[in-house]
Amino acid sequence: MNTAQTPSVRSIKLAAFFDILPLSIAVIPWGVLCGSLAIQVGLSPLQSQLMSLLVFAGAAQLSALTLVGVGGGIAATLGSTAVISSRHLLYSATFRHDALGLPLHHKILMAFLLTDEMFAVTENKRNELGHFPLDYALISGATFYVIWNLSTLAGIVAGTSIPDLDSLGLEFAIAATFIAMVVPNIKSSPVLIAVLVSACSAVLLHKFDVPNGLLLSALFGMVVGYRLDKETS
Amino acid sequence: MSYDLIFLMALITFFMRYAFFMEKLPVKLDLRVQRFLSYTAPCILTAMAAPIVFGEVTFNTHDLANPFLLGGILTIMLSLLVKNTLFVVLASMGIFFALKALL
Repeated sequence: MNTAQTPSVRSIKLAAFFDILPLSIAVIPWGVLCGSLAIQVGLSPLQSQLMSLLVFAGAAQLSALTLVGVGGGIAATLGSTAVISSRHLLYSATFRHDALGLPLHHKILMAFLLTDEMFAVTENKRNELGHFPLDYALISGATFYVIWNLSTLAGIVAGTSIPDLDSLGLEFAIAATFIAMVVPNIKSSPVLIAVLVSACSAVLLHKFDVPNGLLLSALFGMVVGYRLDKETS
Repeated sequence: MSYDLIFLMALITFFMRYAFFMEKLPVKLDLRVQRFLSYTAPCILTAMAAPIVFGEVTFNTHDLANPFLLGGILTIMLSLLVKNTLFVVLASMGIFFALKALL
């Protein structure tokens, strides 16, 4: 640890850890589920952990394991991984400008740690600071990575699915964190309308079980917001 | 499931996250695209949160006992009043679990 660090550098590292903590805690049940489901559908403990270590994408892992459980093929598994992960293209595009100037190892590390949660807290911090905080991105991403893998390990060790895990309501922490990040950043009517469009379409698509509804509803809001933005400017 | 499949999945997810970090990508993100992308965070975070809060809304008296709905609305109100994100998250989680225990 560099002792010459200024307090602001140190506090941004602490902030990265604490900002991602509620999201990391909320994801523990899904990590446990991923680990135990992997064992149940016949993966070895090593394979089960490798999945979280290398793939590091909760929704994609859970859907792949479900497909394996029902005897789905390789193409179906890879196809669902691609579709579910496609929203990360948006995150990558959003950070492109800041990432291009980074050395290769930082770019690779950043991309590897770029989850929904890391994107959420880092984009929020970037807006607050007015520049891209690399340390913040890497620390929040790494914190999330460690907790995700430890919770997978807990699921592998437990082996069988732990009942009532999803009735704890921990996903509320995700909703609360995202609301607390979005609401203060609604500073113009295009943003407000974009957010309302995304919210309404997300609830509707969720009710009708539309595949990839998350990405679609986000894109609806983005298109509407952008068009209004162009008209007002 | 084979090791190959796990590695292929890892490659796919990594590619989606790395795609736009490639300098050689034949795409130029001009100011208009950057403005469009500035809507990514509010829209995608809302799209994740909204079904958790409003997904089980039934438009009848059951809604009065739905801790996700009540907690979510309280979180929105708190976020308008208090600027500290961590405080809002912790307070609303406290409220949510209290509601869940009571209702």
